[in-house]
Amino acid sequence: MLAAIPDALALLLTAEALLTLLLGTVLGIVLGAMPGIGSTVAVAMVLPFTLSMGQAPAILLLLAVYAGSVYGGSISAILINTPGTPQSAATCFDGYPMAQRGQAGQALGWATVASVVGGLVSAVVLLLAAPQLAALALNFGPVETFALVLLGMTCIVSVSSGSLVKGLLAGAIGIFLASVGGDPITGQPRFTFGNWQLISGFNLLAVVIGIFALSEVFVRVGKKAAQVSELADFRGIVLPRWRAWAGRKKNLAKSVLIGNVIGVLPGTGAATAAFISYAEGKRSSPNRAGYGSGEPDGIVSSEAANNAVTGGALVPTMALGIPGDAITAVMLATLTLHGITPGFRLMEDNPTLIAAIFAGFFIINLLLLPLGLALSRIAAPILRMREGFMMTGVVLLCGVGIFFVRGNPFELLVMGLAGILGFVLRRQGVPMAPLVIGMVLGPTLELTLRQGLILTRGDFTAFATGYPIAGALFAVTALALAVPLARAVRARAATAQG
Amino acid sequence: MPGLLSERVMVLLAVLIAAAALLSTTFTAEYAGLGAAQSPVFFPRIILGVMIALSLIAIVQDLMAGQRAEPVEHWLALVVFVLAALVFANAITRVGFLLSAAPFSVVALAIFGFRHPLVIGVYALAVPGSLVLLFNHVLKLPLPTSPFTHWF
Repeated sequence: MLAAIPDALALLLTAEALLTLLLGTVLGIVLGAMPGIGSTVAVAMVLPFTLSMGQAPAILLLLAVYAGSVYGGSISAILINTPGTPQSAATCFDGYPMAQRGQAGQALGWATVASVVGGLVSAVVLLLAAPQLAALALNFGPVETFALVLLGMTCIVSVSSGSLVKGLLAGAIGIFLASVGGDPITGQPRFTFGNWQLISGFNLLAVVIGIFALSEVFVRVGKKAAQVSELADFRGIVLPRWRAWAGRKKNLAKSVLIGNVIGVLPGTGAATAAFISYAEGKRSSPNRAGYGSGEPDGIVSSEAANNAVTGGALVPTMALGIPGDAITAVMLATLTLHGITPGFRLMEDNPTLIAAIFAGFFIINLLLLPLGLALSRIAAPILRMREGFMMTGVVLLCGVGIFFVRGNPFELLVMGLAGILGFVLRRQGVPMAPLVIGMVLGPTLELTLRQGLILTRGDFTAFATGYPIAGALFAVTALALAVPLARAVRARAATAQG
Repeated sequence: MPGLLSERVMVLLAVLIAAAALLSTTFTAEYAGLGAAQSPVFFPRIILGVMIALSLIAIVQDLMAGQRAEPVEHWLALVVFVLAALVFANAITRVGFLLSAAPFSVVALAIFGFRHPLVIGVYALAVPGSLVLLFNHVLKLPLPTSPFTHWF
């Protein structure tokens, strides 16, 4: 990996790549600052623009929008008490009270520095951890890969919001949707019911964009317009002085660590990391008494952790092809459009591309500082933009994006129907991330199971007994399912007693 | 039992029935003759079985918890918007991007509460028009055009 860095830098230091990094980060910050857009929709919105690009600039654009949007969410959280992205929800607790005291610039200063530090450390973690993880997985055969994918799916489901059963159901629906079309081994059509358009299956991106972006618009159409707090008085970011960090560096380091560790775990996401980090800061920070009333440590806890997740979430995505969260699932689907299949072979086959992506991710996080300083004043008036303008634009861009995937009207119809399905299921408390991740991982799960059964002559018990790594992974999977179940049973018993 | 008629239970019931119906189609002669794991329906059968079991558990859980879906404030607006989005998606390749996006934008903005005709008109022409200019002429990724002219 390190040997490929000079070539990677040559790839990065082109006008196209640098402009992509700059524009992507700008776009990410602006889209992230707009309440209702969120990182997943932001990444989905830029999808059509990547189709005219080479592999490296396309991935860098997605990464820049991803990292930029996570930071951008803090701008609206602090200035109007409405998080631009769910990841910044915890930033509201202390950011908005500071802004109400006339310290909006200072609050955004703390958020900017914490975000940049969190993002930079996560870029280093990505650079160091992903190749190691990929090298470890390189020795995996079908049985181990099946066990690994099953574990990834289980982790995603067990930590996703809402009930475990509905999470598992969403995952199963996703896996089923992925099985529609030609059988991966025999090629025989399944569940196509005579419709030739279904022979190639449901397009992943059409489903993902429908499920996330379109259903979000539908939810907002059905709701009353949310009351938005008054825009705080803001005259530009004021960065905290070095002296102001006294007694806060430990909190920053802890938050960055929490973000990275949670980011690497499949399925957790930045919002979970931000809340866990905030709770930990509230418990252990020397300034914990001020949490919730405008304490800078509260902003640092949330923002350092949510930006630290970005690199961490990319570790399993790039190294194993297992998306860390819904955003990385969208990115994974987009990468396949560019002929890139993330997974352990990617690092081996394309070291220059991977080194360029990782180095580019580092630069993106560096860019957050100057661009945050420059853009926050421009982004602030955008927060006054009415929701209808943004949501209509989202639908138009979704249509453009899906048209370019295959140029097929059927995919546009699939996107529309996926939007309706997503809307209906979300109303019933069914989480959407497991559905999408089930769709991403379903084909690998099926193929490795069937290949494994050929190897073991149809004996499934040999998966656990004949392959020690797979056996260990199955044990962890059982644990990942049992822990939340036991917790739910205990909570129910406590409720019944109390 | 009013809980049985709740939206949550009805939707889960629909998932259960759909999974059961799909599972039954895997036992037709179309897939017969291929042994165990190498059958194209081996894996889908497992998944559909899991879906049936999970939706049953979820129905029981929802009946016991008595939770209801969050109410929708504007059903009519939602239905009109969904239909408009489906028509837009279906019309892109038939009448071109601009001719499908402009009317959709008018409907969408009206649903979102915009009433000023100038604002609606400018947005409906400017935003889809900019996208056509950007993709067709800058990025050289042509969006579908109408049967009337190659310009849009």
